Amino acid sequence: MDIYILSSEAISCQDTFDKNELFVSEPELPSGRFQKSLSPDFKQYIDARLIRRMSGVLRMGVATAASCLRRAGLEKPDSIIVGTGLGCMDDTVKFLNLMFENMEQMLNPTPFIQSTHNTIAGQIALMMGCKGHNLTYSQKSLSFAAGLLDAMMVLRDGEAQNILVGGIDELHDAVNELMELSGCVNPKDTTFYSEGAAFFLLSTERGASSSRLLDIKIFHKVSDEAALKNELSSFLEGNNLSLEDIDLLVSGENGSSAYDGYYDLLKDELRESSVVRYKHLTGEHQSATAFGLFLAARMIESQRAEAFTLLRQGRNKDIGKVLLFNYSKNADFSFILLQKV
Amino acid sequence: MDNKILVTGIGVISAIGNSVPENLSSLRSAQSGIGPIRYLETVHKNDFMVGELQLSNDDLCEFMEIAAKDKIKHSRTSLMTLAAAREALMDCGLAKGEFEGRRVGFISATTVGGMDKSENHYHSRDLASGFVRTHSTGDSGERVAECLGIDSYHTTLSTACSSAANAIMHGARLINHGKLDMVLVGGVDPLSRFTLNGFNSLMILDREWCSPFDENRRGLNLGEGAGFVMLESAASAEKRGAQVYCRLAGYANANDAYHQTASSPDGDGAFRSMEKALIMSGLKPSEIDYINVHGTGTSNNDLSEGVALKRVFGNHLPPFSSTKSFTGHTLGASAGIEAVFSILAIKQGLIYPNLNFRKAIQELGISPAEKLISDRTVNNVLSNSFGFGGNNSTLIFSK
Amino acid sequence: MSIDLREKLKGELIEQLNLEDISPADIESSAALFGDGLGLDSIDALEIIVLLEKEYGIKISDPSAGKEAMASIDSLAAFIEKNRK
Repeated sequence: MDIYILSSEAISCQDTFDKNELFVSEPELPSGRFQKSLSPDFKQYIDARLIRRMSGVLRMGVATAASCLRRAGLEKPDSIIVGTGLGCMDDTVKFLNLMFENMEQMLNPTPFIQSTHNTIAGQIALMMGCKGHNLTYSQKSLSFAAGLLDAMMVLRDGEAQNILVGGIDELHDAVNELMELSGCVNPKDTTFYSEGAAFFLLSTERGASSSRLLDIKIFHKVSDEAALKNELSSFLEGNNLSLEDIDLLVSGENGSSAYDGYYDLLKDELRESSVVRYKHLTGEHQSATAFGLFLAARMIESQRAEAFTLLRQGRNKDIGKVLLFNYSKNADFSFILLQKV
Repeated sequence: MDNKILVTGIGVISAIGNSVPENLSSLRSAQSGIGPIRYLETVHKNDFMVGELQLSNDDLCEFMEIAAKDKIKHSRTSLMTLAAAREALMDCGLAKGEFEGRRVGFISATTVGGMDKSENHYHSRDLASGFVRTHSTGDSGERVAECLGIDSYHTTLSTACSSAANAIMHGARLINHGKLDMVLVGGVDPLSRFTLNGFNSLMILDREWCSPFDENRRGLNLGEGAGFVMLESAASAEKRGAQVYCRLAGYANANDAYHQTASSPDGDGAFRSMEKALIMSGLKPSEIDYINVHGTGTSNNDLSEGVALKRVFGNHLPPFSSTKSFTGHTLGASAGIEAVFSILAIKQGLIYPNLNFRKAIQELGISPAEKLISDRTVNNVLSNSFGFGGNNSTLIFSK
Repeated sequence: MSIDLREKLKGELIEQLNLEDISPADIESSAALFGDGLGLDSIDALEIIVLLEKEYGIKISDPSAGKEAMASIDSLAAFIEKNRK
């Protein structure tokens, strides 16, 4: 059964939301270590009655999902699946602070209710009146990939025809502080940390879509470079493809001096392919892979890989078969394969 | 059917026991684990009844044989996960990391992850406690997969009180799609000040023992624990001659889409999840022998769930009970713990009592089982788990 | 003093419940707060209970007990004046 990407949408620290063409002018590269996302006019996308309680991550998620649905021209999806690594940090920290400051007395319920990870998917369903399958995955940097895998299986099981699937993570001062304190932010790296949301309307009906989602593979460890090469070749073989068939590699490299080695390996293996990267524009966070997929889908649509994403122009100028590759600190790997329709 | 999903191992830790045999014994003897708070340090220590484990964190570390240097890597959450998952793994007949070429996965579920540790160390920024890493929802599953030598796919779901049911569903799908041969699936949540105070702010905690489905119910008792089962493809189970408890005959998730926390008056989300699960199982409602209801004891849930039950079962409502009157509401663990109880119900031919019930809810006129029933065959059990965000899940286990 | 309390309550509700784009002038003292009027829900009711305890020292231990009191700004003000510490 074929799975199509009917529409896509993303909020990031670049101007990516509600755009038919991305990066028309060269984007500015953020200078700080931590970069918040740009906010659209949320009220255009979220009901007035719901928005008042929503923290930043909820507004981001619900607006992106709503815009994605609008772009697909559908009234509502059959199912909603979300991946989020950190969940609703702002409300979690708010409630923790309230508990601490008020010695567990007279606590406001709102931040507690909004702190559960599945609030995002729940609010989207509430706004859209969607009563179908509604799941939330939270496995660090593999959260979105897990959600995407589930979506593909649910579609192939015939339990839904259209699924809204997305990845979302928010930046939070408390988390930034803890990251710096615990030595996660290496001054030698060019990595910067950000937040964002990216949603996709997956469908078994082709409609006006430009890309087909072929396959996804998630694996947690590789013993060495040979093992990674094996994973790559068996993944491609499983899809009746060889290394030379990949036109474009979307690399999740993030400027980390210690951990970008496997990205280099893949670029070597896929030596005929064009290579783009994106985290130098939109940063690193636990749902960054979702942005990578957004970029891949839009590049297939426009048949253009912008100069400031392009690391290498490959043999083929056409963007036909695209492989996304992401991992985190030499663990938690994912391959996502898509193809121009 | 070639693509049956079988249950070949179970494991549980809760307020009524640290193992399957202990939990079963308590269920048989109507021995509730709900009582005053013992270990959790909170100003509300004397205010509420909870379903707390009879083990401190140090006891858990000893139970799980955690080396002193490794304690920092664990939270109460990961320790409970390890306890239940390890029991299920051993129960299915495999040893850590020795899977004879089988692809064995691990799907966990939790609402608050390592919050039990984070809430005690966050304000003081005590990094030495290891809370920065253990806080993440995905960390306990990752830690336990490592402890058990599981290196195939692992992931974590988080959909509040239906979490573990959704983990079980995801695991089943992975087997159906040929991505795994076996998968340990379930959920966990610790007692924490965060959840105790959170539910208190919603004013839905009972200061006494909760009475699910009772006209005068006052709210829920929070609980903690972990429940895991080993799901296995029929082919794999047959090949190694595994013991089989039952099969996962049906599953479904639906959304109420009514309100952030309250369930709809017509119980639509619950109705849909039960109906879809029944359709998948191929069973008629009248073929269900026992329902393990979500039954938290709150005014809203029990009424809404009751309405949904009547919509599905009409005049043929089978015996039902909420085991939350034994364990408390264990949030992300509840569907996993209750899956184990449902599986035991089939294996042992039991229908558990719904403790503390006196009078049927007036609008419903339905009564749960008040005493243990042990004299009939239990072939098909339906288990409900409903979470905030309108997340409604149903599992059906069959002999 | 009663009128001041009403105005104070309107301001507090707007802040506590994040009623964006609404000013105290938009809230009629006799209008229903829940259901059709201002459209508040059960979570808002709980937030009002917290406000009553924090600001006015009135503790409500049963959410349904506060329902009548919270019907409108008028009834809320009357309830506070009767019970405040």
